[in-house]
Amino acid sequence: MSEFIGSRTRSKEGPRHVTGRGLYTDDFILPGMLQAMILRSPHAHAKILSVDPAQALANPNVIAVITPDDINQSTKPFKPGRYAAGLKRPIDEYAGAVDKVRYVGEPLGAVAARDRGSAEDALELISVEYEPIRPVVDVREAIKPSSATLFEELGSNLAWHGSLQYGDIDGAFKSADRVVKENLKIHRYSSTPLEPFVVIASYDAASKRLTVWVTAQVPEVIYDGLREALGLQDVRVIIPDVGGGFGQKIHLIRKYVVMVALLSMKSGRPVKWVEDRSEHMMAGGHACAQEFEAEAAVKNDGTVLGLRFKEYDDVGGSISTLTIHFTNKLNNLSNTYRTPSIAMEGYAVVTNKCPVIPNRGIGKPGMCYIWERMMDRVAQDLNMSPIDVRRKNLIQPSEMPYRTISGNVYDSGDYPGLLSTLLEKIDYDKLREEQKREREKGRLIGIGIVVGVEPGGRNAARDMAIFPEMKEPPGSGGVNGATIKLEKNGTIALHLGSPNCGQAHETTTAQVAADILGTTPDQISTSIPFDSDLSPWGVAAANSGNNFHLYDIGAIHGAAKKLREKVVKLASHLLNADAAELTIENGVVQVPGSATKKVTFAELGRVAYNNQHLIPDDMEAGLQATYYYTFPHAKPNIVPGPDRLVRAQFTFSAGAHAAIIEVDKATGKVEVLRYLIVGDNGTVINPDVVNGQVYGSAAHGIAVALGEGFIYSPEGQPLTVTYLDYGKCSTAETPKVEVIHRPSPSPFTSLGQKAAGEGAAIPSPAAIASAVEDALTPLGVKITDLPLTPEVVWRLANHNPDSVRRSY
Amino acid sequence: MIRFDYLEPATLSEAFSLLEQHGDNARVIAGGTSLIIWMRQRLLMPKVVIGLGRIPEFDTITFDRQEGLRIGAGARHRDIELSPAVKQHYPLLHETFRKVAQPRIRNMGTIGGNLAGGDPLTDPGASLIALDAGLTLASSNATRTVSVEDFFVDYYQTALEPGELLTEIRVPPPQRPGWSHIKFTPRSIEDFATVGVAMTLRGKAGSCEDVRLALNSVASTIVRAKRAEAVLRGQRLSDDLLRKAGEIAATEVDPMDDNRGSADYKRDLVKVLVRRAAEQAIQRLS
Amino acid sequence: MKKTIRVTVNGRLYEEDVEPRILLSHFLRETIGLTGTHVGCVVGECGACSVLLDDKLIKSCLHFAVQADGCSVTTIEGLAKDGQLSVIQEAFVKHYALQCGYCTPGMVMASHALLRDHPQPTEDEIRKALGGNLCMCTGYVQIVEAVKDAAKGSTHV
Repeated sequence: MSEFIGSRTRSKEGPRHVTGRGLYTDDFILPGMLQAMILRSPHAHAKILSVDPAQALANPNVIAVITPDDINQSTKPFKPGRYAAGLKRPIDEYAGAVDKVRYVGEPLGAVAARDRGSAEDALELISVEYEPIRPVVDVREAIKPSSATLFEELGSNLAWHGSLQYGDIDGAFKSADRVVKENLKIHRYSSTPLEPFVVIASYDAASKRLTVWVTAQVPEVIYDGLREALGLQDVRVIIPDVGGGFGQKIHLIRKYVVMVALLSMKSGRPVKWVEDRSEHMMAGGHACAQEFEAEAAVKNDGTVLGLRFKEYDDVGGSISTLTIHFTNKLNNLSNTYRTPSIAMEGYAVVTNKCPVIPNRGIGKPGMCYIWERMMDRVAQDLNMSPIDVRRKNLIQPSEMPYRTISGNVYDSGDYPGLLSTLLEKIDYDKLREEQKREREKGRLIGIGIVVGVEPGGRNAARDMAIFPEMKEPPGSGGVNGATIKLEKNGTIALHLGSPNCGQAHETTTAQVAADILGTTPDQISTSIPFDSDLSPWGVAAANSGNNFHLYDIGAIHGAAKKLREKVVKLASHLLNADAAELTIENGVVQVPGSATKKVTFAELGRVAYNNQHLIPDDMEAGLQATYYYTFPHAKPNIVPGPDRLVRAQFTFSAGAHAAIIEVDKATGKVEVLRYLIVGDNGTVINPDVVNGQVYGSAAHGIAVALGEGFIYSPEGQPLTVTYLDYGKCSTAETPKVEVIHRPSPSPFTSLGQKAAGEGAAIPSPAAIASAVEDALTPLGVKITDLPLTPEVVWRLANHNPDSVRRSY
Repeated sequence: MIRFDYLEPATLSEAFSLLEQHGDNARVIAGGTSLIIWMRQRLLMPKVVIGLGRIPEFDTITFDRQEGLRIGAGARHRDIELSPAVKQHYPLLHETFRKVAQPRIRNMGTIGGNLAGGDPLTDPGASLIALDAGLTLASSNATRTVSVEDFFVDYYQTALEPGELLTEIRVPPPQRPGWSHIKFTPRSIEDFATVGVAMTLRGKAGSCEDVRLALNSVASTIVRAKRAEAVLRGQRLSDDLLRKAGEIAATEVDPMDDNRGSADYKRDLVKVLVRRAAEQAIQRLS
Repeated sequence: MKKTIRVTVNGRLYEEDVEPRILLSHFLRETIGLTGTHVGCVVGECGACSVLLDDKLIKSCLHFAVQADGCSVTTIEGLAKDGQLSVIQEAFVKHYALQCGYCTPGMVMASHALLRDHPQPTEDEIRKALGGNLCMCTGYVQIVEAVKDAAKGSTHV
């Protein structure tokens, strides 16, 4: 049956993209469509005193302008979602700034004009008066009582504080032989998708129906956001080809959708907005800068009895994503280790910078960074090899499925096996000898070995574990659907429940459907775009959070099985054969061995849609099936109870990474000589697709560790608003990542498949940090903070005491 | 993008009269790769843009053993990179132009536009200084020559007077066979250099007879490091001497703190990269 | 004031009245209606807008449409003939050298230009030549493999 699952089936998306026929949101034009531009704050922190659009409106080409007053009067604030649960009192967040701006680039109004040039000119003519307030960009400064508060209602910039613990953490530290401590830092960065935000909104006033085309990853956020903010019942969300998401196109985009929709309502015309690259870099959303104070309770044989950490999150100028980087740590809280007690304490601090969003990995790279840096520290403290320390604490394959102390159930995994295979492939012992020889010649070569789990499949109730205030689950587990239809002509059409931004959903679902239905992928086509009117979607309809492998594959699998049953039932009736003996191959249903007893899909289609008298009485006409998938092994702890145990996610991929690097002491430049991953993504449906995800996520994690990132001036001005200023790497700087698969299929999923999307972004920053520290061992340097730009490495390697104070 | 009128003169003298006519309201565009960005960011807002693309012979490259290299200001970086005469006789220029941004930009950007922008982060200027190049600045009633090292006055400011156009770059016949070019770009090869070094050297029997050293991205102009040159000129070449030259060069620069690095770091890089450049140039002597 | 320009795009001559401020990338996308050329940064850094102008690879966002008067442009839509993919396009599909597809037209144009001028590039040459095309999805591995495969044994792409 598995002819296509596991094979390098030809890309279905490829042909249209290589010929320039992809259809992205900006490629759509509607009659009478206006062009919009967003009015943004030039100040990091200021009161809005007045906004006067009169001069802008004087231009006859300018059709509509919205100001903070319009937003205040014509829209409602967004309901605080699960990202903002735990706020002591709810704080209204509107689509745009209403009385105050809290970051450079924050939107407060917009213009719609007949052409882009007129919209640009009009924006310059809107007169805005601000009263600047002293901005705060540093987390420690922000919590001081002397700092100006961003949200007066909060009384402080410490917007949230909470903690969670599992196991007997005090007992662990009491019985430890020693305590290993470290302070660590990760900076602000993001995956900066190449396609910027684009929104088209078209409001039909007579029918009170709003249609939007939008570059979004999670339809629910747009759908609910529009209904809440604009009080509309009839909303249609269409998501065409999306040029990269990575978590950037989930949350903040809802602000712009509401603003553009408001422009459409005001002007009576469709309106399109295309974000400029610099707008995205300053206001599109950043991954959170996190500071950690971590300590491990350790026995002298290397066993880690407990891990305790405090986390300070710099969440930027919004309260709507306050805790996501902290709560997501529940997903990989134990990493690959059996440590029986873990305590986490989080502080979310608002600052006058871009709000944070759930960028690829969301908080999990931070968790893996804590673990893997601590493991290296423990090894140094005990004079043990970093490999042996890890081995001492790894969960064993015989313990799978394994319940972690926070309630996750790891479905499968052979972490010692991944590590062994990795060490064998790089010839670790020989590498260490070579390193010693080269050190004597003055070369600084480093080897970093890390392991990390990569969780998949969202549980919408997870956050209740962190927020005792949440009485009702905002949702639980996940639900998503797929529809599969055998067409009149015998071909197959798929309607998926999720949008995608380039993860080959069309190809992989076709592979699965082909194998189950007994046809070939070239007979299958997937309907794009995602359309909230037509697509069978639920809360897990999200091209994010590693949901696809579980919910979408699960849904297609379920729908294909359902359809196959119908196909076989109709065929058995037409062929007068026993359903149990029928086989399907290449779209032909037949009694094996018989030359005559066969019927093609096309023939079945003609019956099912045309020929009532041939359809059995007890069978529905047509050949279509819809299936909504939920994870069948979600219990126990799908909804956390008072013990706070929770299935944060449902499936667990893993990877062992080796980074081999060289440091040029004189310039601080780090060259990656080799980067190898031994990965477990469960059953791999299409190796090229999975490898692509691993290469891409690893390359980004490496680039993040080595220098790309957002920088702000002390006054809160963003200094990195172009790709080059931000430090994006091209083909010439990106090392070639190698991947070897060593899967442990999941016993819980339809095909044994596990996630691959966030993947290698989680352990890779830790791998680079470990390797650079290893390279600088002769100089006694410890690596704790990212990024490791050439200048940072140069300072560390040359023990330059001056440090340039940079704010990230 | 701001609104403007676009004019395309057919000859150089037509270009001069348009420049005189429109004065401060006009900017010239050849390749446009820098100007378009500045206009987009509203750093420059000309009412009139004068395109030089139609002017005949504005982009020719010729070489003559007596006179050396003559490059029309409209020549694209890519044309200079690929010119056989440049590759054969001026390997320093070939190497430099190979590294300017990347092929797409090199296909469009012109050397004239590059130099006239006065941006101290750009690459060609330092190499041209190391080759004693001179620039022809012309207006409707006069023509004069300025050395490249005197052409850069301050950030984005050059010796060009109103009504003047940079029309030609002249590089004398090659004098010093040793050369090197280092463009330190730790992040993207597309990026401007964090530090750029260009050197030419003539040596004999282990001594330096003559040398030129120029640096970009380390000051408000592209800098000729004369004191560092003096350290090397006429001296026996040794590791110590090269190290000293690097240290002296670091005192002749005044780098800015920016995304690419702090002033301290860049100064230190100058020490390291000048020494490495000298090592490479000396290797090329043999 | 609008100017009338005559530009040949993928072999067909177009005569249009355009404002001088219209970038070539927007001219191709909106005036001509060929949306395969993408805009990712509009300041010439990402390469998504790469096209051939008089056979030279350029970034169309750093070019005014009026500068292309009298010139010939080839966009991504001009590479395949009647739905038949060119060698480099086929190599990209075969090697999964794309994910979201947004950088793909520019990446294919850059690879096409590279192989046209250097039919047998080394991996280092490929990586340097594509250094002006940013991709956020792939990590570039399969892209480089596709270009190598297209170079192997092909006479012309």
